Order: sequence, then structure tokens, then C-alpha cells
Amino acid sequence: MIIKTEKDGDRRIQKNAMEYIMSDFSVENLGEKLKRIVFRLYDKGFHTWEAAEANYEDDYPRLYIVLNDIFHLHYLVFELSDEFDIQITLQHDLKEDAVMIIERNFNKDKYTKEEFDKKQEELLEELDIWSSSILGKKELEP
Amino acid sequence: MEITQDSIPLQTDSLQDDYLIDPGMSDIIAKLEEKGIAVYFSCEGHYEAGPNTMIALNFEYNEELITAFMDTEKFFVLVERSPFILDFLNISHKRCILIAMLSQDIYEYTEEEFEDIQKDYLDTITTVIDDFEGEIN
Repeated sequence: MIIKTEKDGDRRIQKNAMEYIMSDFSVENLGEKLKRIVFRLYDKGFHTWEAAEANYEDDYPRLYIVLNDIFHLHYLVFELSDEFDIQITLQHDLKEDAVMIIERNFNKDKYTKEEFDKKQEELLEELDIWSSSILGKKELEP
Repeated sequence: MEITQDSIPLQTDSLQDDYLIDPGMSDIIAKLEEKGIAVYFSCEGHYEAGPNTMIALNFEYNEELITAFMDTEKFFVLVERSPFILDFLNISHKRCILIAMLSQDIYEYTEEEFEDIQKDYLDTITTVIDDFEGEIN
């Protein structure tokens, strides 16, 4: 028996881990708040492969952070609220190429631009607080 | 009791059109159900199925269990819990999907190798569930 995947199943594994790692992401293109979050995570030993704010002009706005070293982060990620979805993506079973994606998509039809901006601000604030409060990688080492 | 596809208790909102329970996963599903975790769909992977075959287990959200699966460092893990994704999927329950890709086209497994790898993944899943104390609520 072959199971059919859900209609959206492929969409959410749309990019494999290696593509994130090889992307031309630059932290300088981020807004101030997300940039601060990325730097703070870096200071704690967690490198960001890619990140972006959701853009109201996009068809499928998506706020996300793609992080390496998932196997310390998985102890910390559930300190985030249910506002965020989480993925772990492996590349051909290579642990070192695994990434953790923390993401929040938006159905823009449900928000005015003003509501959207307010919601994104709240979500960034939560990520900001989370990145401040979590333990660093070294503190998690046995 | 032998558990078949028909006898596995499912939550009513799990019976969407393309949700299937694979009989090869029945022991694993029974263990999860015993521990209070609902299963929404599963697949054990099939050698003859071509490039998209995978082990998949879609189960009720439980942070302890999900962390334990993440800890194995063996699976794709999708944690679906945000208001956006629940609305998008038209479901009311938070859930997790565990995936291990088994494509023989990509990995060039022989059928025997495929079965060994498949067994290894299924054994890992079973061990995690055995170690899980269960839903306390």
C-alpha cells in the first residue's frame, strides 16, 4: 500500500537542508529586531543559515529562522509558544547538515496591513524574549 | 489481539480523505494509543513504491515525545501547532509528523538493504515509544 501524502506535504519540505546552507542569505538585509535575534542566537552558539521577516506583499508571507545545531536546540524550542511551527530537516541522514526551522506563516486574507504588522511585531517580540532567555550551547553541553 | 487497519481506533477528525493507517505500523500505533497518544496516519515505507516512499507517523502533539524523537537525530520532524497551520489544514488538533525517507531510487538500496534500514527506523520508533511514560493528563 502506498500512502498519499497530504496535499501540502511537499510544500513544507520545499527546500532541503543543503539549499539553506548554500543560500546567499545576509543578516544585513534583516530588520533591526530580527537582526538582533540572529546575533543573540549566534552569541549563544547557534548559527542562523537563513531568516526573514514575513512580507505582506508576498502571496504566502512567512516569518522564519533556519538554525544549525538542532540537537541542542530541540531542548529549547518548546519554550516558544504555539504561535510557531517547528521543523527538523535532514539531508540524506547527515546529522551535521540538519537544520531546525522555526516559522510562522500568515494567511494574509485574514489581516489588514496594520493588523499584519502588529501581529508580526508581537511574534518578533516573542522571539526576542526567547533568544534572551534560553541557555547557550555551552551551558547545554554535558 | 491482532490489530488491523479496520480495528485501529481513530479520532473522528483523523478520517480525512487521504489519511491512511498502514497495517505494518500497527504495533507502534497500538503502543502509542495505549499511552494516550492518538495516531492520525502512518506508513511503513515500501520498496516497490519508488522514489517517494517513506516511513511516516502522524501523531497527537506531545512535547516530551516529540523531543525524544528529535533526540534520535534520525527523522524529519514537522511540528504543526500554529493558528495558521491548524486553519490551513482545517484541523483542530496540534500534531507532529515524523518522516524517514527511504527512497531506493535516491539511496540505491537493494531490497534487503531497504528492509534492514526500514527495520532500524521502526525499531528506533518503538524504543522511543517504549521509553515514553505516556500522557499524564
